[in-house]
Amino acid sequence: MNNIDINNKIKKRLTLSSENYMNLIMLGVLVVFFIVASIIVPTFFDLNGLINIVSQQSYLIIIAIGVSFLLITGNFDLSVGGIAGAAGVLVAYFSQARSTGSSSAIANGLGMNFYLAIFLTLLICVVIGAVNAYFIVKMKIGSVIVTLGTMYISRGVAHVVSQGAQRNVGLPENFGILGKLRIFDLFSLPVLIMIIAVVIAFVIQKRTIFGRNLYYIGSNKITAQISGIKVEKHVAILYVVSAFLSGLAGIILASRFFSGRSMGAEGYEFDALVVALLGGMSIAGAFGGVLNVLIGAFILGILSTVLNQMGLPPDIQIISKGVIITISILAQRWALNKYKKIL
Amino acid sequence: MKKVNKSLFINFLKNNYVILLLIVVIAIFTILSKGRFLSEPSVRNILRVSVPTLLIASIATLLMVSGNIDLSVGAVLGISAVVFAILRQSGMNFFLALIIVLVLGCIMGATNGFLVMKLRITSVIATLATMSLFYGFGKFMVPDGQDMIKYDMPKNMIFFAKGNFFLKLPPSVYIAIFLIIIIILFEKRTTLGKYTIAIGDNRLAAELSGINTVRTVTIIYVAVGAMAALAGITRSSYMTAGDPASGIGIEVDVIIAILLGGTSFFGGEGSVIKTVAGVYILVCLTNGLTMVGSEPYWSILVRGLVFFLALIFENVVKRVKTSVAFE
Repeated sequence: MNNIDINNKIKKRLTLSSENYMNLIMLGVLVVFFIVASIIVPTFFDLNGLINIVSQQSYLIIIAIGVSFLLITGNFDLSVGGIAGAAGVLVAYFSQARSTGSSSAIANGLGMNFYLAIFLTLLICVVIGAVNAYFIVKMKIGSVIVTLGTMYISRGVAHVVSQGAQRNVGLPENFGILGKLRIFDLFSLPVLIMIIAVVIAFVIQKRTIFGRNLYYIGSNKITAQISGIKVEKHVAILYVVSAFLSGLAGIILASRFFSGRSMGAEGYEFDALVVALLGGMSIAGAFGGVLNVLIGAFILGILSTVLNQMGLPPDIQIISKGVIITISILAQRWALNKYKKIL
Repeated sequence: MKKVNKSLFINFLKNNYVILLLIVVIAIFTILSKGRFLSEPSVRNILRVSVPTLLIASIATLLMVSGNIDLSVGAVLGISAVVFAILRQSGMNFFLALIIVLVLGCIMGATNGFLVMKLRITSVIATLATMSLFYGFGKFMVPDGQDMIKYDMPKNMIFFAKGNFFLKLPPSVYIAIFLIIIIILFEKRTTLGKYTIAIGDNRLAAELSGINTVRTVTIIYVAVGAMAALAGITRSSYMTAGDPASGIGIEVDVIIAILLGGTSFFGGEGSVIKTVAGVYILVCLTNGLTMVGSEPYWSILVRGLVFFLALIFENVVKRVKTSVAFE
């Protein structure tokens, strides 16, 4: 058999789109990670442990869904961590008892009903998202710059309202319900919310016109505009939804820790980006989706758990995490380029 | 005639609003602190404290002009501070230690340049990964049970960043001024400076017109590494200790200062002098807020608000200018 024949054979066999190819590769990496982890760490393969990983990552995944939608359209949202932090502190402030007898300023809140507090907090988050959308879509300022600004403002609100510490005195009894509620005695509410959000996001991405339009916007904004897609409306909706989801994650996080901490959800803006890219999304937009976020988050979760359970000192953990993330993103790009050449 | 003057004024405002903002910030704090903000010790303190951010931000402006970013500068600063402290602890000569740390910084910068330009990983991701890598190494070098290297430091270590060299200012301030002048000359007067703008504007077009993009940007990455290492030496000398965490957060400060200065995040335009003004706005905010007695937790919110106001202001001015042009 000569060379051309072989080439033709390869061509016939590989009819996957490069997007599906990437999904398969990363799924393979996840499986390999899982198997290796089960071999190295004997205590890893345990139902409770696995559920633990999922629930640990659930907050990040909820936040990263909004980020990944924006990434498809070629926009960034760096304000998600700040918004989640502000939401956690604000919901605690709104629902704290009005006079707890303590003279400290952070011990006394507004004494609202917990559910009213949640509603109000989410409303504020949506407003921040709308501010993002206004400046990016209407004023046409770069998304990185605007969301860096709102990240600082919302994180600043979290710091000022909690005076750089945390609000955990005089919270209503049902404050912890969102973090502790368990479904079928198996997994917690954040996991359920995460699953629902992922399913909805997946359907929107793959099965709706709205989702398809996002990919057109990401690959070429101007042609999308000319073909009649309302680019501004799409992007604005995504920013509001992203802020809403981060607010939700922040509230559940506060509920789980039973306190509104000024540093809550710190660094989530970068983690969300890392998870999306580790899963195989492209930073240039219009490539990948919520499935990649899920895969990336679980790879990162398994990695953290394994490094932790192996009893390595924290410095080594940081180093090895950095190395593994670098190598996997490198390998990913290399494989994709190779595949595109065969195609 | 009047119209020309008006548009000239607005044009000036548009191009130099960051300097205007700096003057406004200084004026507000001078009034609030009843003149103490502009007293001699306060000004000297601001000049001394601003050196690390200034060094990194001025060269990182060129990097952003070329369309790339370096998030690992804080980690490079930290690891350089640790290495410098270890070398000085062992009794090594100041200049030898300086050279070793600078070379180390160049190597780390070259690593970033290699990952971004040769292997073509997006700069945000590549330097985010090297950030955790360098930070981890920095922590690793500090002995167990300590959070920084602070024992048996030579007595004259503090001289570089806090001593009295000339006009009661330390050598680091003069070195920073000297280096910034060199960077500005590099930006305005060399072909490499023009190349960075061309690359940031359109990398493919720059490549097709024969510019060696890989070499140009890698050189800038190496320079950023070296500057971050020098900033680490300054920090380490200022604290008389090597703290791997001393650079955390400086990358965000640097980005904000550069953006305040009107540099485009996606490359193609920018100015080092305006970045310098942006750095001083940030440093004045931090120092001024402490001076007027506000709690430290206010600083993040105030920073965010100033950043956002600058954004809005720049945009409003832009709009005014276009409407004048249409008249």
